[in-house]
Formats: sequence, C-alpha cells, structure tokens
Amino acid sequence: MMIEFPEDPTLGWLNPGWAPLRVPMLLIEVSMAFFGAHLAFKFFKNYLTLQDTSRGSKMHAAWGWLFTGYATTIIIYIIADFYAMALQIRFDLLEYGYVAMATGALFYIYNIESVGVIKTRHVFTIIFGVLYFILLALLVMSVFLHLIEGTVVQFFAISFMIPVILFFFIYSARINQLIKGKMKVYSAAMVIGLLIFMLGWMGATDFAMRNLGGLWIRLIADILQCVGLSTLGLFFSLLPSWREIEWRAALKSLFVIYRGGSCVYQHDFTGGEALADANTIMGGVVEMVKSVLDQVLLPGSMKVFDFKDKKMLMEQGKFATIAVIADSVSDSLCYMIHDFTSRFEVYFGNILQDWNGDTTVFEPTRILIKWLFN
Amino acid sequence: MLVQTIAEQFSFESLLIPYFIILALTIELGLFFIIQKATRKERSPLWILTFSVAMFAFSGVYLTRALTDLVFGSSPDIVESLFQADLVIVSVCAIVIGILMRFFFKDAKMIVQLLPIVVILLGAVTLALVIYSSIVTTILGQVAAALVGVLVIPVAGFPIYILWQLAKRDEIGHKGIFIVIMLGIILNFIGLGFNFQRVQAAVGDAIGAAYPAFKLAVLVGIIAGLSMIAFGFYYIPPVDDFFWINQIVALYVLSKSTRTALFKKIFDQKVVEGFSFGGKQTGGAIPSESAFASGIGGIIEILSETSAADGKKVEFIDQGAVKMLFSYQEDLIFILLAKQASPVLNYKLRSFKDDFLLFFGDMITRFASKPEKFLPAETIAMRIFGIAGEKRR
Repeated sequence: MMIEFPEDPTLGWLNPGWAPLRVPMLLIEVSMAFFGAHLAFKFFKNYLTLQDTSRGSKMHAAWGWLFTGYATTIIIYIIADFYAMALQIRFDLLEYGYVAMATGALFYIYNIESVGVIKTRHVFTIIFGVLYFILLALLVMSVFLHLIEGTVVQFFAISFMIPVILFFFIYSARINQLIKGKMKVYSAAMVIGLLIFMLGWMGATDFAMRNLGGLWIRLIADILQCVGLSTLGLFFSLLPSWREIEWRAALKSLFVIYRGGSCVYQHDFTGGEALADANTIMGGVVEMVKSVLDQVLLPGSMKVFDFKDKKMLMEQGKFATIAVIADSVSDSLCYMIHDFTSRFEVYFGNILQDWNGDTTVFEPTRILIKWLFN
Repeated sequence: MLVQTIAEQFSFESLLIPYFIILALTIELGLFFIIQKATRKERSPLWILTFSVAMFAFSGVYLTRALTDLVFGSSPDIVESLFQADLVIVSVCAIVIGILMRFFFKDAKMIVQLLPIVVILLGAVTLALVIYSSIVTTILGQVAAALVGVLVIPVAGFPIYILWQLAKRDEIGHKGIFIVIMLGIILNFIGLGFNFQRVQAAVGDAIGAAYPAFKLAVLVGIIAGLSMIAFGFYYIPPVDDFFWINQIVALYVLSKSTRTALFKKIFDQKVVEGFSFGGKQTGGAIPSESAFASGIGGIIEILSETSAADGKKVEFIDQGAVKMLFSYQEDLIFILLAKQASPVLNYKLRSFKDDFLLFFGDMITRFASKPEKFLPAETIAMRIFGIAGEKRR
C-alpha cells in the first residue's frame, strides 16, 4: 500500500482558510501525545519501582520505550501538520517522526527479548539495531543531502513495527494460555485495544486522508487512537506480569489438610514422590500453628508463612485447609488456590462432611490438580 | 467565519493548548486520588480526597480563566460572571475541605477540631453572600470577595499541611520527591497569581507587547508545576502507606531458650486487649503472656522443620486478623504485630533489632531472668516507632 504525502496540507499554516476541524483535531492530537507520554511515564515508573517484586518485568520498560517513541512522534507530527511553513519542512519533520517511532520500537524489541517469554536470544535486537543505523543514514541522505525520497525513510521505519506487533501477539498468546478467569477478558481487551489503535494509526496516514474521506477520516482515526491507547494501557496494567504469571514454575507442592490436622492429600509439582512423613508433619504443623495463634491472638484465617525464599500460602475452606508451598506469591497463584479449594470442597463435599479416615478416597484429586494446574 | 491571520491563530493556539493541558492534568490528578481511595478501600483515609477537591477547584478556576482569555475577554459582563464563578468554586471547595478536615483532625485537641467547623461555616456564609451579591448588586459582593481571599488560606494550606505530614512520616527515602511536589505547588501558585485578572492587567500595562510571550511562559510554568505534582504523587507509594504508625499493634522481644518476653511495647491497646492473653477474655483460663512467648517460640521451631522452610526461619505470618513480622538474633526473636504489613515495618523492625543489640548485646544472658532491666529499650522503640501509642494520626 503506497502512502503518499498530500500536496495540499489542509491543517497547517499553508492553508489560508483554516480547516474547521483544525482546532478539534489539534486538541485530540495533543491528547494523544499527552496520553502517550503519561503511559510511558507509568510504565517506566513501574519498571523502576517494581523491579524486585513479583510484579516487576522488563515488559514495563518495553512499553515505556514504545510509548515514549509514540508521544515524540505525535509531537513531531503536530508541528509538521499544524505549524510547518513549507511543504518540504513538513516532509522533513515527518521523517524525524518516523525515526522517533523506530527508536521506541527498537528499545521495545530489546526489552521484550529480555523478558524470557520469547526466547530469541536478542536476534531481533541485533538485526534491527543494524537496520536502525541504516535508517539514520537514510534520514541524513533524505533530509540533509536530498539524495533519496522521504518515502524510503518512511517505509524503512515502518518495518520496525513488524517485530513489535509480532512480539506483542506472541506475548499475548503465551499469557493467554496461562491466565484464567477475568484475566482472559483483560487480555482480549488489550488485543482489541491494539487493533483499534492500529486502525487509528493507519486511518491517520496521508494515504487514508486522501482516499477515504479527507479530514473527517483523520478525526475518526485520531479518536480511535485515543480509545485504542487507553484500552491497551488500562488492560495491560491490569494484567499480571510475566514473572507473576509464571506461578506454575513457582509451585512446589500442595497439601490438603482436613480439619483437625490430618493431611489427606499431597501433590508434588516438582515431580518428586510424596513422602508420608512430610504429609503428617505438614498437616499437624498448619493446624497447630493456626490453633496456637488463634488462642494467643485473635481468631483469624491463616494466609501466608513467608520464609524469604519460600512461601506457604493457605486457603481455608469449610472442611479443609489447602496449603501450597511456592517460591513466590502472586495474585494469579492465590486465585488458583482459591479456585482449587472451592472445587475440591464441591467435589468431595459429601465425603468431607463425615470423613471416615480413609485417605484413598481423595486420590481423584490428582485429576483436579492436573486439570486446574496443568 | 472570521479569517484570522497566522499571528492571530498562533496567539489563540498558544493559549488554547496550554490551557487544555492544564485542565487535563488537574482533572487527572483529581481523579487519581479518588481512584486510590476506591481501590484501597478502608485502608485509604477519607481525607485523601482533599487533594482531589483542591485539584478539581484548580481545574474549575483554570477553566474560567481559559474562557476569559480565549472566548469572552471582550465581554465585561461575562468576565464578571466568570469571576463570580471563581468565588463560588473557592467557597464550595472550602466547605468540602472543611468536612474532610474533620476526618483528619478527629483525634486532635478540641481547639483544632473547631478549625474545620470554622472553615465550613465561613465557606457557607461566603457562598451565600456570593450568590446573593450576584443577584442583587450590593457592597456585600466586595465582602464576599474578601472572604474568599481568607478562605484561600485553608483551601490551599490544608493540602500542603497534609503533604508536610506525609513528608515527615517518610522513612524510605522519598524526601526528594516531596520537594519536587512542593516546588510544583509553589510554581502552580505563582502561575495562578500571575493569572489573576488584576495582576494580568497590571503586568500587561507594564510590559506591553511582550505580554503574550509572558503569558505563555506563565502557562508553561503552571504545566511544569502540575507535571511535577503529578510525577511526585504517581511515584510515591499510596498515601496510607505513610501512616504505617496506625497499623502497628505491638512489639515483642522473646527469648527462645526461656520462652519469655524480655521486652514488649504495646502500640494499640485496643487490639491487644482483644488477644486472648490481653486480659479482656471472660470465662475459662486466660492464656498468659508467657504462653504467647512459648507458642510463638514453638511455632517458629516447628515451621523451620517443614519442607517449605528448607531450614530457614519464618519471617512473616499473615494470620488473617494480625500480621506478624519476625527478625532473629541467636537466642532472640523480635516480633512486630501489625494490622497491615508494609515494607517500612520490616525496615523499622530491623532498625530496632540493631539498636537493641547495640545497647544490650552482651548483657542479654545476664539480664534474661530480669526483664525489667530491658525497660530502657522503650526509648529505642519510641525513637524508631515514632510517637506510636500516644498521638496517632
């Protein structure tokens, strides 16, 4: 699809009649830059402040760079489209905008390749790093030496968006496999947000303006970009980070402790054999600790024992307590334990009400575990 | 449609864009605290909304200024109405801030508790006067304007006072961020001052043709100030984290070998009274404090034997009703009981342990049988845990 510059920019100083949409569009585009800069700040802030927590992720830095590139590009576009005093100045400014976007994209690629979800050994960073230097050379050849057309720089810069979109969809797909419940809705909303944003981005090009309805199409496209950006930013921030989602790797073992302290079922997620002694000890310990603390303090519902490297998370059901040993605590893991507890008590409800001491009756729990945790 | 020259259009847009950004920033900041309150629910105090009220008041005032500068500058009647709207905004803001002040000062001295009532009453009287004087032309209009001038003091001063209180309670190195916020507020007020109609007119007369550039610089200064405030508030932890002092319940130093409490400091008597050993139980045997010490000692021993511990000692237990933070040193167990855990409490407990060991390190064995000898540790606890147990806000 060829994208060409219009020869008669209707928004800017070059148009003596001032398009009636100039002011609303100017404000919408200022909003886009403002919003992009905000999202960039939010993601960088999360990257810096959450580094040592389960919510920390290089994805925050990746998004931070992308939105920095986006906000810079929009600011340059505003100057080019609304304030350029000559057509050539507009073309030159737009090329700086493409390079700003490509810069954000390059750092996005570098950071997302460091996350671990995509094991590409920084191949894309190296390739696009080299391409970036070529892009800079093309920019110099176009803007300063006038040896090549501006469209060459434009197409070259757009190629940086291919891995960005590719990585985004790979990341979303991987996350989607691991998340449950309402998180799936968030993930879907994030993808929809990106699609709306991309639609808006394409609709704002000169090509779309020229062929699909002029300034109105750009106005709609700008609104779509704002909506897409807000949806994308909001739902990405609601999703757990990759480190947090990796609850499966953090899981070590699970114990089902019947009231009174009998451990009726144990599952080892690391592949080791369940030890009968471990079961007995764990059941007794959890009940004893709960009983002692309830007696000396206030009656409560035990939730966490933290041993620095290892955590024991507990979820109290009506008849049983589920204790899970994990390397880290995360919202996703807590949700899974809560889900498991509810399902376990529903499934074994009749038995639990009047359990006769036979632990073999709980053996089907492995199916429940396989179904929920695998 | 009037055809404007490039210079006219540029002049218009050089005001429009800054005002637009100013409004976006103030509304966003106002919403930020409402969202923080909504997401942290009862953990977040109601008075946090003071910041929202102040920001919405700013957005209201800037909106009237924008309308005056961009649209109605040549219509004196509308300009006067917009000025009246400013007075209404400040009066309403004073009433709401007065109500929020009541929550903040609810445990303060009687004289301080009267302050919010004065602000509410003054706000209500001013509002009535503003409305009345806008209907009937009277000298009362000037009185109302003067009263608004007085109301600006609590309206602007109370959020700054809260900010000062937060900065005072900062324990994790955010002082620089608070300075940024404070500078942002100062910039904002300077900008607001230059944006007042009379000041604006005086400056315009003084600098003549250079005024548009000066005005742009003022608006950019306001944007910079608001950005600094936004940056600061988005960066620091939620406001309630600074009031960790309200979360701590008690501090214990237990001896593992003797299973006795060598030192204790109660910060929240009410919660401790609810404990089984706290003394408000009726019927049956009341477990003693030594039972608590034995129980905790036993729990730590047993938990360290479990497969989860891998030989390590438990550092945190969320019991549901109470959170327990632990720190260890040979025979000693340092326990901090809290209603909510936060990183600063870990830091505080470790600081207390270090100071305790510095003072009593080589005397612990000799003093173990006489816990009263550890009473001077009260001073350490008071220093590290602030004024907890006394005035708490």
